[in-house]
Amino acid sequence: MRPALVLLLASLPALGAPVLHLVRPDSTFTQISTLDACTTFAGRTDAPECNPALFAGAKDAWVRFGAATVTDGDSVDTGKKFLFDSVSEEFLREMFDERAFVTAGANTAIDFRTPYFQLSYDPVTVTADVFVFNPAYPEVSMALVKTKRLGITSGTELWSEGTAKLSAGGTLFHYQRRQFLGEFALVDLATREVEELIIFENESGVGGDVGLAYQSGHAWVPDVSLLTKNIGTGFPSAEADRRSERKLRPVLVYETHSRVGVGKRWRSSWGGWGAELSAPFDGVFAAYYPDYLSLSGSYDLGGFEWMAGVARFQQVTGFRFSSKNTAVGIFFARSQPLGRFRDEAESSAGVQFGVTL
Amino acid sequence: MLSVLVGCQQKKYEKSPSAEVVDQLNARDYDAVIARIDPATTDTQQKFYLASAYAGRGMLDVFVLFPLLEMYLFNRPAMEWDDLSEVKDPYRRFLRRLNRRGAGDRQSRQELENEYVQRLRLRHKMDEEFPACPGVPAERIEVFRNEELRIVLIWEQAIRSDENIAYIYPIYPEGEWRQYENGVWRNRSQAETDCSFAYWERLNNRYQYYYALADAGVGRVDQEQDQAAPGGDSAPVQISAARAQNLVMEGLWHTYEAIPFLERLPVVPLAAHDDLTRAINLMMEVRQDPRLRERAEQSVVAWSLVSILSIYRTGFDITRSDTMKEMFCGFSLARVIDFYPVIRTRFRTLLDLYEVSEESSRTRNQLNGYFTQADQFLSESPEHLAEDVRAYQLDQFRDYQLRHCIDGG
Repeated sequence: MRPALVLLLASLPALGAPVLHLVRPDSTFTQISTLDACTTFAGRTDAPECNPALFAGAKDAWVRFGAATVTDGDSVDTGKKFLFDSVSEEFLREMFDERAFVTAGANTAIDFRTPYFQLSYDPVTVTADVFVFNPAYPEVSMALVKTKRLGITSGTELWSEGTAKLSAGGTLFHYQRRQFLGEFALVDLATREVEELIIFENESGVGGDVGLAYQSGHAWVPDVSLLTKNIGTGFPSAEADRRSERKLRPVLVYETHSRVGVGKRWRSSWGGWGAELSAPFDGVFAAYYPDYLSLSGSYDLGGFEWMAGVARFQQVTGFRFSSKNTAVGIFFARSQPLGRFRDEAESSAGVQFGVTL
Repeated sequence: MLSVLVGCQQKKYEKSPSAEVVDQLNARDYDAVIARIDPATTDTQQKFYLASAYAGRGMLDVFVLFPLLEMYLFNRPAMEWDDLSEVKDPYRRFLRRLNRRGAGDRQSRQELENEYVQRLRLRHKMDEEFPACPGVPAERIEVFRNEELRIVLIWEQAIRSDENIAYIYPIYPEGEWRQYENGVWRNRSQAETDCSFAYWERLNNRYQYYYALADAGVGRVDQEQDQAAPGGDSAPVQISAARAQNLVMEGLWHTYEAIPFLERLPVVPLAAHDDLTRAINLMMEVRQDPRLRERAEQSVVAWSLVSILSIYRTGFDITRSDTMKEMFCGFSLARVIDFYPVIRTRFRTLLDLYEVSEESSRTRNQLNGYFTQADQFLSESPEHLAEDVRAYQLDQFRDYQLRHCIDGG
């Protein structure tokens, strides 16, 4: 008899403005294009970033440089105007009428892989969320987070029987984080310096990701994974702040969160196929986010890969072309970063470059 | 059978009523917010939003406040109104244009001069007929008339040649209208006494009239303008040092410099000021909450000051203010005086806020510069303007205005 996994769900509705992001620390093309629903995708070079337990199957060694950024999109355009152009009355109207919320993200990564461990250095990951509200007394809510991480990932096989195996892995990383999560009135800019209004907090410490992966080895039995990320990073994301309509808090990015993944990969002479259903949780499997449940699909043939991720508020598809040493990925996304909080949808495009030595 | 039961909570982020209010505010659907939030709510954040909605409906939102923000952000604080002419900003070009004598200056001046002359003629009864003086011989009356004509001619000549107007005593051949009786000169009759008084009064009125004309420079305008602006429209307006010392002109200069800002302020109708009053009063309640105190106080200050400025702005026809003089001369106190109760309410609120704000707060610092003016205004002005007081003030101001507008100095 097979074990039955039954989830008893208790509803805890909350109110607020958690912000969804495509780009996260250490994000790879696969993670972005599948909305992180890749925790069972074993055998890929970037599998350990999806789930450190998948490191157990890695045998190669290389050095890889990568960077991902959303290079085009409504928010990006608005953000560019905001930063580099004078704030005109027309622009303000545009912000209130069409784009009160602006979001952007980018990351970089350098990875060094050996058969025993993987060193990852993420010099900078940036997410920026800005929400302007209340035209009668304009206020600006911001969540600006910049992180730098140096981590080591490894994994091992715990059990195997025939083609089935259970593996575990972990990433231990040191992080430095600068963040501003707050609000100020636009008129405050008149009487105060920006440095007085936007005071960055500096935090640093050691955090970790832990993962388990069960690979059935059977064509019709799915693989299952458990993953907890950002343990011990202490990102300030109190429930009360997430409930507030005045505050922005990135969700499933910096704070401790978990995933249960159920997926499968098939390989044939026509290429490789994969799919995963990934259920995210707050904390260490503390509260399930049904709205952020994501489904991914992938197909690869030779140096070409296609991936797609679908969730209630995020849809993304990406193509990657790889040669022996380089990979260029392009992804297109449509997202509603504030979820139910705001109907505003964001269309964006991004690129991910990778060079493997 | 092995069963694993895993219990966990489910977490959804639903859109909160507050978030809907924020959306409605962003969509500038202020009526919906006003209908949605109970003014008696104890939730200060909701009250803050309600106050914002009233302010928005009262025509004060970020788009209206943008010129103010723009000056704050990119220039100097407009509220200080200090030496904006030095600021290198987009307004400089605008100011340069304003500093050139406008094409409509002469026409405008002629209109003002005509109005002034009309008011003087009416006040000094210049268009009345000669007194009839019944019972007085015609030849005697002719003496009075001829003497008046002679003196008036001198005054008219004085005005044309830009000389001072001095009172000239009439010279009558005494034998013609008086006789010596019992050691004293007497008028020949009571009718002649009355007649001489009537003509004296008439001459005195004419003196006042011509004095006022000379004082305002009527009659020498064209000549001065021709000298002052040989180059036509491009000659800059010259403001003498003495005049710059004048308090009124100083205020005008500040106003003039602030035209780019003023012209973008809304002309808020009286009814909309009621909404602003509600908004400001609600914010005064919101400030009881320490979390929102500073924002509430800043709103009260900004809305009150912009409200006062918008009222001030209603007095000016900015579109016709090519020169500072045109701006001043086109100022209509009548339009502003309708808002007298609102102005008092705003000053009263600012004073109240000053008194309750904390000693070292930003609000207190911001209001320091206005406290004396507001206090002085409130203590020296009546609570309500009676109709006759209002009419008197308007009349006095118009006189003052015309006198300075016609004066070419």
